[in-house]
Amino acid sequence: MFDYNEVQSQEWNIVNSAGTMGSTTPSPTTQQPQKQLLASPTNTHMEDFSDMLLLTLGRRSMTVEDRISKLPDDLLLKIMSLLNTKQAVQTCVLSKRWKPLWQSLPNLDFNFDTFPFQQETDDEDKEEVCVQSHIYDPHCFLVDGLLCYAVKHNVQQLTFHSRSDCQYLFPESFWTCQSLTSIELKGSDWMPMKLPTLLACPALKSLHLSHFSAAGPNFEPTAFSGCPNLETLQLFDILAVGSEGLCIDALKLTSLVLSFASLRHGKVEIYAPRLTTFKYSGIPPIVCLTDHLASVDDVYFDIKTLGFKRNEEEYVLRLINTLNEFRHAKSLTLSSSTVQRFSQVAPNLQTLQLFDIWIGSENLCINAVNLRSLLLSFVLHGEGKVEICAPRLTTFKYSGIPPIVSSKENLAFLDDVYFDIKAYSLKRNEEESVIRLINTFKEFRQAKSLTLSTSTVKILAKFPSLLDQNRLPFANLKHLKIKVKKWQSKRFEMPACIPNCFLNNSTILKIYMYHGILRHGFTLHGHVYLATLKSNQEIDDEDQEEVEMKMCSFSNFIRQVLFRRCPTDLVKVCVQSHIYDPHCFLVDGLLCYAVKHNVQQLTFHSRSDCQYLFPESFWTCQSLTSLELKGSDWIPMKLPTLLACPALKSLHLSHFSTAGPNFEPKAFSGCLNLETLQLFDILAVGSEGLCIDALKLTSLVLSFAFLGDGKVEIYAPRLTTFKYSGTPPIVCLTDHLASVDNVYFDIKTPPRFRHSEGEYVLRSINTLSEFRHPKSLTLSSSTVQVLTKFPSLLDQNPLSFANLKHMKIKVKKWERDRFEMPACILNYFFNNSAILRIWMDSFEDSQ
Amino acid sequence: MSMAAVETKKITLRTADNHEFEVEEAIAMEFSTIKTFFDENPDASEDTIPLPNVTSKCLSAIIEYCKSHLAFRARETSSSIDEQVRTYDEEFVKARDNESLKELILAANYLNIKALLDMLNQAVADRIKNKSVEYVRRFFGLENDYTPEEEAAIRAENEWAFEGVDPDDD
Repeated sequence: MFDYNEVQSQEWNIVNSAGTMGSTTPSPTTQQPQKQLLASPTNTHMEDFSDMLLLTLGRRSMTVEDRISKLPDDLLLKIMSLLNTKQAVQTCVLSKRWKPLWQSLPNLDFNFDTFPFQQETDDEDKEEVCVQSHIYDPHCFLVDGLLCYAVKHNVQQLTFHSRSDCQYLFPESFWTCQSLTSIELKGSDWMPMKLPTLLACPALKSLHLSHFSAAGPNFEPTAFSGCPNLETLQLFDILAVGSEGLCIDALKLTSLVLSFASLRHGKVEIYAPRLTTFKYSGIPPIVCLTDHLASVDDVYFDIKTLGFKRNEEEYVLRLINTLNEFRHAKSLTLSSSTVQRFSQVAPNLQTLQLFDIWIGSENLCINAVNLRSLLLSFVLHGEGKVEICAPRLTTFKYSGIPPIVSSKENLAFLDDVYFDIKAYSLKRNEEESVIRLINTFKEFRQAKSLTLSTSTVKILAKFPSLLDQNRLPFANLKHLKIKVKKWQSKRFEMPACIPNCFLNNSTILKIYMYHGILRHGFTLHGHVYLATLKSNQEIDDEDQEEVEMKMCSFSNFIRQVLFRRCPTDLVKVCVQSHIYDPHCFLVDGLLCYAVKHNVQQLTFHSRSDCQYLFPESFWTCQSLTSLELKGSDWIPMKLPTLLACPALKSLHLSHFSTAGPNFEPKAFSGCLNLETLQLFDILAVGSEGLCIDALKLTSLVLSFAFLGDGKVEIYAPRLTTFKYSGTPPIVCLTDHLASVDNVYFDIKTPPRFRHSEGEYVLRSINTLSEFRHPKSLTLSSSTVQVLTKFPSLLDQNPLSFANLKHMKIKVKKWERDRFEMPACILNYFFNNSAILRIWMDSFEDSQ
Repeated sequence: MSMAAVETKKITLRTADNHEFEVEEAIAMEFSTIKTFFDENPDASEDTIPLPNVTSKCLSAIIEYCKSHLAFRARETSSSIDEQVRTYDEEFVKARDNESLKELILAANYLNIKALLDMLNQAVADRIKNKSVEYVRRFFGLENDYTPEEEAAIRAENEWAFEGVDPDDD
């Protein structure tokens, strides 16, 4: 817990006054001279000395120490909050009671400059960290920071699967990000994400959202209509779309997938003239297409049947109506639950897929003249048959328990047949199953290519005699493929009988064995990869390396503290970064963390050249009472377009620039409780000026680097202190501001103003006249200089400072000897006031 | 009990070691605990208030502190006054040893004197800032209940908090 650069004066006082302390001669072996001051030998002596002091002064009595040897936790936390956060964390080694104490610290201070770090002589490896979004995700602030980082680096494709129960905050600019072409977001079952109220990414082509809920009463039904280039839209597991429904308006949309967990009476309106694929899953919606959607080729429906028992007829009617909208489809895929209620098939149908079918004793008839591709997947099979009338069938896939499939026609065009027979629960009837399978094979004997799964092969191989008895007449068979799963590949052996039974008449039969690939859709982990950046400079450059190492340690420290601390609310957070900040996304994440933990006081000094993104909810944060933000010279922060923190009392912003064309002059009028407002080094307020409207404001400090022609309007009836620094503004107060007591002006004289100096001075005088009630007026020396340039103007515009009692002139220390108070100024202010004390104050001490 | 404006009301306080102190009402009102008590029990102003958690040594120091700060506040604010306040606070803390600082903190906490408590907390923080673990332990009167192995394990587990600091430091 040492800081090598700081000499502990307290300690030295005690040592010096005692005079008899042990030696402090530097031991010659240590390398750094400063280290010796506090090296171990001295430390031991300090221990003895403390003891001695206590005994001598007689303070150390047993009863006193027993009674007060333990300060209560809350006091300890208060004291720890005054320490550097790194040292506060180190208290975990003091004793067992202290071990978890730091985790409840309400104040966090991450200041790079004061972060105690001394480079070790060993070369450390840079750490690389991988974070997976998991159910247990205490690093969720990292993910927040990563989202900011990605946006800042113009990410084009973003995939994010949240599996944790913590809420992720998107940066403000996420939903209007210019660079994103593909977004895939998945919320978790515990914490569905909120749909944006408006999505307007101009470059977005593909959008997959899953586990989302509509954003409550503010949800705009046209939320998904803001992306002109959208080609693919997938909304999975959308919870609770309300009665306004959903309106999807996308000119270029070709693929649309919707899946609703619950859809009330809302309609789904789709305007997508280029739509070719439509998939729907959930409760029957009322879908209306504002166009014919003649182009839709592929349609997929999976209707769930939960909870609709009372309204089944209406339900089916809705379904039929919806299906009717898609009557031009060439391919229709229906789940079994849909199939059970719908037995008509569209005439143009070329592809039909039926999944998870439960067939009881009734037959399933598939009658489709144009059908080219048929996929059947059975979960349960009773006695019912499957009858297929599809003369043009080219592809047939079958998965499940051996069915009885009969085809009415000769399938002359059949090319590919795929069988994946599941073997479970067949134990009692295995032989019969194999017979069924063989019979089914016969129906497809025209196939040119046959693919069998390993389980199919295994079943067939169980009864080689049956294979002998029933020669399979695969006359056209040219290819036989066996699909082997990857984990089976080493163990699977092709039984000899199988190829034989297929080798019939075919002259050449190619047999392929290849892996089957498991497709699971969307259950990938969210994989986040963080790497420290390496400097491009020479390795010899020790300073840079030391800074890098310190930055690594500092960043890791932030991560660990946020990870390990109790998730209690924070009171105060201070962050100061460094010029070199490759981990600025950590700071972004830290800001998100602070907001989520209801921070009350936030101080953030950016000194780096990377842009920091505030979370969406930052400028309306409920808990903030005090906010201090400072941008850097390289990258000024952008002023918010609207600031509306209800609890905010104190706001200091410095090195900001207005947010461009969207800047609202009223940006600072949204905080009702604001008492102190300080805006330093604001660059470039535009011609709309600034409007500060704050009922409770008592102190206002403005400092402009550049003010155009804009006015500054102030409505603040309780204002008592006003300080202004910069080029003369046009300030108007929409009230008398009778309460302003202290006024301070520091007018700068930039060289550019030479041509309109007169106007300049006039502006200053006008502004001064707005503040004619104060009791105390302080002017900087440059202000005085400016005013004296045009004594005639002063005469023409007399000011009546009725209440003025004190006037101070602030003179810079180096000017002190040279500054003379011009007589005209004195006269100017002396007007009506009876007693006027004039102080000449230098910045250091008063005279 | 109304008195003439010139005479100031006195409140009697009794400390843990049975000393009685008479203080002016203005000073007693600096102790928020007592102020709250009087707000709720306006008739109790004549009684002696027992302070079982405060020693006489502490209380006299606290009374001195409050007197001085009241005097400072009565004068007009200026940078020179702030300077004097700072100097006074420094002197107040400087001579005290660690034990008495802790006593004062407990007393200020009990009496709920915010300004004094904040100042004392800062003083303690300054005293233990960047000091060795042993020093801090003794300052707070802590028994080290870790075995050396346990302590080493904690340091290793939290290496991110201890790195870049002299490993000889104990």
